[in-house]
Order: sequence, then structure tokens, then C-alpha cells
Amino acid sequence: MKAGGKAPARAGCSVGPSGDQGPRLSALEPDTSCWNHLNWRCSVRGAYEVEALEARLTERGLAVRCRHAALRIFRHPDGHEIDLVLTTGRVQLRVDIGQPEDQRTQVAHALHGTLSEALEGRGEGQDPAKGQGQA
Amino acid sequence: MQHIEQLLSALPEHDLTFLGSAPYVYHCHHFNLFHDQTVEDALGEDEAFSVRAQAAHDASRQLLSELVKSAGAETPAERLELAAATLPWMGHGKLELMTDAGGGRARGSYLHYGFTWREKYGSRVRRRHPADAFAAGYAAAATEVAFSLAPGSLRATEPACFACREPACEIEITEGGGHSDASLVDKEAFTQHVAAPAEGVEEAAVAKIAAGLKDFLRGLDGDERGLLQGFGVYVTRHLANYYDQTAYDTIHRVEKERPQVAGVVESLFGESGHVCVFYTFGGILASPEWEALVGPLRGEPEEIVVGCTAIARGLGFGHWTIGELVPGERLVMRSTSNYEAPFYRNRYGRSEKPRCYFFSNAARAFMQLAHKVDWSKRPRLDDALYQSLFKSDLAWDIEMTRCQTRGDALTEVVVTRHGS
Repeated sequence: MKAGGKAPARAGCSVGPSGDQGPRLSALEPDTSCWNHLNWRCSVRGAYEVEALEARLTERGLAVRCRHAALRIFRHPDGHEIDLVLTTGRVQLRVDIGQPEDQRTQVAHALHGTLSEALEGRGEGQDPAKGQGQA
Repeated sequence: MQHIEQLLSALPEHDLTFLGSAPYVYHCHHFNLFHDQTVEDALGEDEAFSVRAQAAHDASRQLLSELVKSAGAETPAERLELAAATLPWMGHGKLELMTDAGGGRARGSYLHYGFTWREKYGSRVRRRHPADAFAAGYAAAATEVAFSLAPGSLRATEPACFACREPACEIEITEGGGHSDASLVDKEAFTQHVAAPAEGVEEAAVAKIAAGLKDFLRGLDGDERGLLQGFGVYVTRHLANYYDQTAYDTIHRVEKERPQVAGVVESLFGESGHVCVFYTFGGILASPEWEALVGPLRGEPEEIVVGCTAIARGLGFGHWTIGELVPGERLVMRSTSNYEAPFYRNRYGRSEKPRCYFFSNAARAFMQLAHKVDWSKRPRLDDALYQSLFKSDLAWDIEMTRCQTRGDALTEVVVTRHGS
């Protein structure tokens, strides 16, 4: 199954904007948040394989917390989460509440990097969301 | 958490949920802190702690008594373990209970009220009185139930609180709480004060969204700290009787002792409806989960009011329906069941005036979110926007035209534009 951009993902189908050059993640911006600097927003542009993305994020130590027809929620070992809406490409990055406030922005950017690398199919490398403080 | 989940039940047609016989709902920390702050504002810190701890004690004892029976927990150790495991499931953090039949102490971590108060206000305000009256009452009730003590044998205080910049929360449980004569408000009592569910405007859409939300909420798991996250907000599975007892006991005390300020206190409990709708409902509407379950938000007034009505049902607030909606002008919201009126009627009898403060002000907040928030601009639902929307730019009046606390068949609020 492919998803991304404005093209809705449907089970058993490969969909995505035609002629795309691979998935890209938009720039990070603050999102509606219950707490200061915890929720961040970006979106996936271009088509991608959901299963492949899952596999790459799993390799990086994230687990699938929610598997819904239109939604995946990935949980980082330090408690951070990546919410991905398969039908619209919207992403919400949720920094764990135990993260000190002055480190939350940094962690969000690290998570953004992790997701971006996984989307682009780049190697595991070092998990940039690790070691950013005590969760 | 098998034992607690075995106690889950519902009156699905009334959109009410129960843990055993105890009604429960989902509320986030913004509402919880505002609600408890209102009790403090009305009664002062010490008396407020007592009222809140007593309500927590009564509501928790009801739950824990049924839980240990259902789980077949015979020994005090088993019962204490069960109580300690239940609090995190509710999203209230963790309690280590070190008690015997004479009392003892409990140590809390990530306790909901203290932890969230410090997160929300701690950098700006130095708190000097404890915040975790709910956990204190819970600890006293858990110890009573564990050692088969009579209700009110124990009481609890919180000498150290995380909200006061202490490293952890410490609760002391001592003898001599005094007898609680509060009657039990349970599932059976609730069924006596709800009406047959009615259909409202856009009923099919409301029901479908509410069903999806309920399914999703059922799948929520607390984390290892006892925190519960869903839709991008931190929530509690909370005992509705706690909210009702604290609100109505507070209002009745003020009406009796300082009637000149009773209206202010009623307004503040009503404002908790604004706080809940703005932060929790707004947060849900703006969440990726909503986008996945329902679709991207367009921001039309009808869409927001339908969505909010469905959220209320999904959170266990009762069977709320849209009686009439004229965008830009008027909303009539009705509930054939909610979590305020059954408690009031069972505990205090028939009221002389409408008292569904939360329901009626939540309806006003629906209209404010529907007309004053530009959802297309992806607003940040922060304190600045809340202050702007609900302090300086509140465009709607409300009138509770019918109320089940007063003996009416259903509860109804009419929301109209200022000056119309």
C-alpha cells in the first residue's frame, strides 16, 4: 500500500501522486498542543510504501502503537510519538511529556530527521532522537 | 489491567460509561485543574482540600469495593496492589501504598493534579498548598477497602506535593476521617434520572462519529508512568461522582454561608465547560486522529457543532443532541442524559433552578469554537487564544430552558448571539 501527498491510501492499492520523486517531509512547525512545545506538525509529500516505512522505523527502535486503516502511531523508546495520517499525509510529532521544556524543540527536530530518513529509505545510522535528555 | 476492564460497562443508548456501578468520563488536565481551582476559590485552600479529598474518597471507595470483589482479592496486600494498579489505568499517575489498618503513607509519582499543575503553571506561579486531593482520598479509600474498615475510618493529607516543587508527592493516611453519610450514586440511580434517548439534527453523523471515538478511546493504554494520552492531549478516565460532589457541595455551602457570591461560583463551574470544550474538544478536532477517523476539518459551523456533540457522547458525557442550529444565530442543545443531573437528583433531590452548569456552558463554547475560530489557519489552542475567545470576545448568551435537576423531562439550553 502506498500513501502520501493528497492521494488517499486504500488497502490493497498502490496510490500516490503521479510522477512524484519520492516522499519528502515538509518543514516542522508548532502544532496545537496540550502542553508547551510538545506537539509539532509537518506533512509527507509524495508517495511511499507504508509497510516499508513501518519496517524502517521499527529498525530505528520505534514500535507501532496504533494501526488503523487511516492512521499509524509510532512510539519511540523514549516515549515520543509519530502520528501519521495515511489518507492526507499529515504528521504530528509528539515529544514525551517527561522531556525538559528547553529540550523539546531539539527532540522534535531529531524526530523529524528520523522520519525523514525513514521515508527516503536512507540507512539506519544513529537515531538522532536518542540522547536528547531524560524522558 | 484485566480486572478493571472486566468492570467496564455502559448504557450505550445514553452514552454513559461505568466502572462497575461508578460512572466515569474522560476529562483532560485543563478542565481538571480549573474545576479544582474553582473549589479552592470558593472555599479556601484547606476547606477545598477536605471537600475534594472527601469526594475522591467516596467515589473511589465505591469503585474499589466492587473491584476487589470482582477480582476476588482477599488479602490486604492483594487489594492494595489492585488499587495501586488501577490509578495508572485511570491516567492519574502512580501511588505506592505503604499502609496498614491504622493508616500509613503513600508515595506518588506523576500524580495527575500535581504533575499537570506544575507543567502548566509551575514556571510562572509558586504553589504553596498541595494539589493531589484526589489521590489522597483515593489512598484513604484504598486502605479502608484493603483492611475492610468502615467508610470514613481514615483520612488523608498531602504534606509534600510535586506541584509545590517537592521532588515527589507524599500522602499521609491517619485514623479519624469521620463517617461519610453520602448516599451512593450508582448505575441504577443514574437510570432513574435519564429520559428515553431522542434523535437530534444530523443524528446519523453524530452517532457515527461518536461510535468511532468510543472505539478509539477503548484502545487507549496508559504508559508506564500512569499517563494516558489520546488525540494529542493527556486525559484521565475520571469518576464523574468526584466532579459532581465537589461542584454541588461547594455551591451549596456557598449558597448557605455566602449567598452573595453564589452566582460567581456558579459562573466559574460553568466556565469549566468553556475550558473543557476549548482545550479537549478543540484539541480532538485539531488532532491527526480526528483527521484520520473523520476527515480533515473544514471549519464550517455545522461541522464543528456536530463534531463537538459527537465528542461529548464519545467521552461519556451523555446523550447530547442538537435540537436546532441556525449558524451565526442560534443553537438549541438538549440532553436526555448527562452526568450532572442524575447525581444531583439522587444526592440532593429536585433543584429549584437549573443546575447543569457544565452542559449549558459547553453548548455556548460549541458556538464560540464554531464561529470565532478560523480552523483553516490551524490555530494553536493555547492560553492566549482561550483568553481572547472566552474573556474578551464571548459572543453568545445562554438560557437553560429545561433541566433535569429541576425535574424536567430533559435538559435544554438555548444559545443565542449577544443582543439578539
